[in-house]
Amino acid sequence: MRKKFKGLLPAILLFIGLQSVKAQEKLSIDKVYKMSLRNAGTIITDEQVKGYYYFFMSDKIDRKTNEYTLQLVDANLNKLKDIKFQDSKKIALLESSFNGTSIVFMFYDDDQNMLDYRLYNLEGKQISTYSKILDKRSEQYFRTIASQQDDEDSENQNVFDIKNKGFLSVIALRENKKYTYDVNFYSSDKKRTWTYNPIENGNSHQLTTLVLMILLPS
Amino acid sequence: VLCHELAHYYLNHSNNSIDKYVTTVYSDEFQKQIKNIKKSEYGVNSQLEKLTRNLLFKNRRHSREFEQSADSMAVELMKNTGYDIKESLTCLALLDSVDKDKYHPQLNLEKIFNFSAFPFKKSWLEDDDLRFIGEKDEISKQDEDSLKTHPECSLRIARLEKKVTDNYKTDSRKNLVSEVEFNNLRTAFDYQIIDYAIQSNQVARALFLALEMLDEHPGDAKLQGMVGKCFNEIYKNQKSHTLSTIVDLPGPGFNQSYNALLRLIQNLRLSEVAALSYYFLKQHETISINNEDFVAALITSKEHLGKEQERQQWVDFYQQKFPKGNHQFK
Repeated sequence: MRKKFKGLLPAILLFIGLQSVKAQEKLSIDKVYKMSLRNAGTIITDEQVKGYYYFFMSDKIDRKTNEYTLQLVDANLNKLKDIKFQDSKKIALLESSFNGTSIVFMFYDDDQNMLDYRLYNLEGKQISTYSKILDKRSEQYFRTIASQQDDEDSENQNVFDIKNKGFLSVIALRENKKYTYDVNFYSSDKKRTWTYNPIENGNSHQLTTLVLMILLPS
Repeated sequence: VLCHELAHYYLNHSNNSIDKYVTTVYSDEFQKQIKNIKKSEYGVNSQLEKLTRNLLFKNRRHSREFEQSADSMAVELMKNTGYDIKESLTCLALLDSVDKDKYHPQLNLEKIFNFSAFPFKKSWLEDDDLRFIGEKDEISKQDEDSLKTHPECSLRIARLEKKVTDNYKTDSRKNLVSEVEFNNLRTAFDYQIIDYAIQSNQVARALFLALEMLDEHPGDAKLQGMVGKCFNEIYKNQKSHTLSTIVDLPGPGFNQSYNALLRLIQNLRLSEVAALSYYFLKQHETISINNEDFVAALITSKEHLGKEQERQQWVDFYQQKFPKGNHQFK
């Protein structure tokens, strides 16, 4: 009998010890608060870095939806703005550009296989969104760049600013062994967009002519 | 102000505040709330933000209560000093504007740095930085009152008025030392603030303060010399690629006027910094020659712009006029 108790004693002491350690464990807000960085990148104007964005997943709303915080800092790393919104849990922020009056963020939604261009004014308010459903010719390309984002790269590959007018987005397309591209223009002063594809629109059109059409006053 | 801060000390407000915070966050009730939040599958951060906000509001409410009791005790302390305790109400009225600059002109940089031999370039103020218009959202406007650490000054005055009237002594005075000396010290401190900013490598801030003060005292040779000295420091540091150690970069935390000056500094080439210093000081060189620091800044500006002959003439002048001067020139 005595022997039995002797064997139990260390276990009891260990149990009491653990209970007392557990009682001392105090939770603090910062230990429970969780935010994870999804993407980070540069905000480009005319090939110059004007700032940086940090795209955080800041909360889980439900099974399919997350809350996101898009934090913007200027070129000197001063915090400028936090933009919060809710969206699908499968979105990635790929690129951003600033055209002097508005800023665009190009999101890729893997669930809907879609690119979403969200334009914000300088008060941080969303002024318009343009969505583009990706077809088979480009979906693989975006799936790859969404999964292999290079944070070191400070040059935009797809989105380019047109001063005070809007943004151009160039999308690479591949059909069998043919390579081509789509050029999309998204206006920032009014809700207006157009798409140019050299094959669908005929080869005689030159891309440069179209770009000049945007830049020159009508 | 001194009596108010002493009152905080005697009433142990700092320690009480820490104690209250620690007791709250380690209380069973608070810990239970955090544990429940931690167990939630969704909305963890939004629940935590709500909890933090409530804690902060509670903390700030206590802080405002502490301020009120410190105000009351301050009158008790002050009535024994011989100073007029009615001045405590004047001081509270002043506190509303204490964060604003004493000198607050909108600096017209284009006018200040425009010289016939060296005209101002608009490109110096060019700004294509990414910046958002600082409009506060509705929630933060609503929260502003709850987040204040101090009660409104008008409320503080209203709460103190009776106590001050009851304790007023007719033989108390506004100035126990000479009023003239007090006012002289106030002006001297303005110069010392600029000097201190230069010494502590805050040259852009010093330049801004000197220009602000100069706007009110345009003929002040000491201030003119300080402006020249700041530009000379900017020149030296730009040349040695250490400019960022003495000037701020434009940012959303600064006012428009200061940001414009910071942008100007960033946009200037080295030769333009030297020229601005030279032409700025040169326009005053005939009337400000009695100020040693002005002449010293002028000599350095001539050296930076390569005006060797002029420089040598002024070095001779300096050595003759200030034989025991603080500056050494070859």
